[in-house]
Amino acid sequence: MNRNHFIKTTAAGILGVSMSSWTHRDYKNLKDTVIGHGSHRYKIDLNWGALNPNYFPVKDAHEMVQDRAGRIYLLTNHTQNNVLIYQTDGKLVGSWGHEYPGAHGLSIHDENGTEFLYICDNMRHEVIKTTLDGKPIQVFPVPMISEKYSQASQYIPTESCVAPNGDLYVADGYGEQYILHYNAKGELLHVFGGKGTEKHQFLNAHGICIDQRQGNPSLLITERQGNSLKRFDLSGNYISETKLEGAFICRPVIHNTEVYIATIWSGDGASNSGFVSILDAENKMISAPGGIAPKYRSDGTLEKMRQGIRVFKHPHDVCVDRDENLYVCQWNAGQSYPIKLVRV
Amino acid sequence: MRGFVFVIIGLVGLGYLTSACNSRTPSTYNNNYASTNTFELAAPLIEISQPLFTDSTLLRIKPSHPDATILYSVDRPITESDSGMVYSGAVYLKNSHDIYAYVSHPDFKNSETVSTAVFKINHSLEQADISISPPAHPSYAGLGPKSLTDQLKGNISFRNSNAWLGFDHPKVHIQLDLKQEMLLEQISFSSLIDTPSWIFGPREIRVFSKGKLLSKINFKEENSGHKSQLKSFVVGIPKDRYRQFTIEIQTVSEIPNWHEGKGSQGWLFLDQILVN
Repeated sequence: MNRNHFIKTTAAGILGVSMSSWTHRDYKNLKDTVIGHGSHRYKIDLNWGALNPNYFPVKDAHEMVQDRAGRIYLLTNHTQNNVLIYQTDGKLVGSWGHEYPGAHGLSIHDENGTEFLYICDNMRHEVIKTTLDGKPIQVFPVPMISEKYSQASQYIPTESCVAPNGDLYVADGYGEQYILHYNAKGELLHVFGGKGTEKHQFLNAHGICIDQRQGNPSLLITERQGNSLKRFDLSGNYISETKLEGAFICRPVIHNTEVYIATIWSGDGASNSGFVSILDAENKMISAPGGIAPKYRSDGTLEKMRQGIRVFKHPHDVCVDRDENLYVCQWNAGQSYPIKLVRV
Repeated sequence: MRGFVFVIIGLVGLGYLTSACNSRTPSTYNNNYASTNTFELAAPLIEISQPLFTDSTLLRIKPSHPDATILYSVDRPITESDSGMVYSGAVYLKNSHDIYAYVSHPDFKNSETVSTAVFKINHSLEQADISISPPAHPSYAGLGPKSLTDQLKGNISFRNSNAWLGFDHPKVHIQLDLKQEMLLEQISFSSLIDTPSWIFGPREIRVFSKGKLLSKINFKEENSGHKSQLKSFVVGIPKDRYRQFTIEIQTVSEIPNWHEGKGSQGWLFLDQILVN
């Protein structure tokens, strides 16, 4: 061994030791972020579903649903690809849709073994039923027949849901705040709700779903500006209300006995203040990933909620997969892709 | 020499092995989970029992994370060299102050600093006459000019609030008649700054009485890092007895270049005028 070889070997060794030390010193204090509370806590995968925006752009990432095969459908108002279809590992497996400039609400329904999507387009002022691969099947136009609207622009549907008997309910959440009840043929059966502050009325009836946790199906409807979740029977009769002060809740998503709701703003409604609300079978908030720990007063009311950690900007919807992981898509969040929360 | 080389190689290998065995492989190294230092804590909540008070008011600050340390300061903005005092419990305030607060945690990035203002009322202006020209924008007209003397404080959430008057003109003229002479040395203007909403503080305030200029104060321009806050702009005047004032407020007539609204007229929001 000559002197030069010795110096090179020694230097490499010292460098190796110091790099090794540096690497581990750098990492040893890092901790995975865990958000949420009690039984519902999550690690955060910020990179899930990230794509090349030149090929598969999103504008607002509005809503997500999962089909029977486990694929996740993301609805965006970017008309280069209104629907992006992912596997749960974040791999893109399909895309479609150029004709939904106001794509906002997305729900899925199994109709005698075949699944269909329902898109609420708040610029077309329509609800469109499609196959899973994007073929339009049925259009629910502006319900002028209801005599609640004098022009199409007054009707701005944000969400829909299908009852066990096939009836469709549409929330006019950015419009006149009516809930429109159709049969499967598309015939308007009933209209209820409307803008106002009475119990049966709404200030931003943003989301709607069918709740069968108590046996008989009923409707859960979010009143986003009122920080409230309202229950109606399928005939449109008001039943009850759950106040969630400080939580501007978007769309209720029921999974097992819980309700998951993206909460676009919190506290006094400041920008970038969102989190996710998780309610138990009694609609009591048990966890708030990204928010402060929910706390109830002795009179049973929830203390005003607000953000705890700035993970989210404007969460707009939550999809819950079979492993109880969450996928959170966001409105007005820098054209970003969904965030996956992995349950721990 | 050969033996020495083996020793070196052995040490290097041992170094790797030791470090590999002693360190838990960090999850961030082999998966996609975001580490705590990725995120900023949300700002703390400042609660004031009475933003306008005659005797004292109670300051409480609530953290956004249970293990975070709350730091706050009174009348001094938080800076790198002045990180504030540790908050350990409710504080009684007996004078007008600006309050600044943020939270810190070793695992997370510090929160942004939030601020608010409390005002001690020495003289009620509820009987005063006030007129404003040009009037507030119809969307932010509150309860009319009296909104500035009704002792009703607004908060950061300015939309759908009767507390705030919003102006989108280069100058705002206010005529204030106290209805009786008062011994005064200060006039405060309670304002909102919310630059993402195009709302800025005043650039200049001039106070006149009986046609004579009493005081002219220029205020610093907000920068791109400026967060939403409630802020009082105080104008000192020669200590004397006064009844009537004419006030000229120069607003941000051209939004600065760093802002998306550059060159446009900015908004001025006021909710109270107080005299001391």
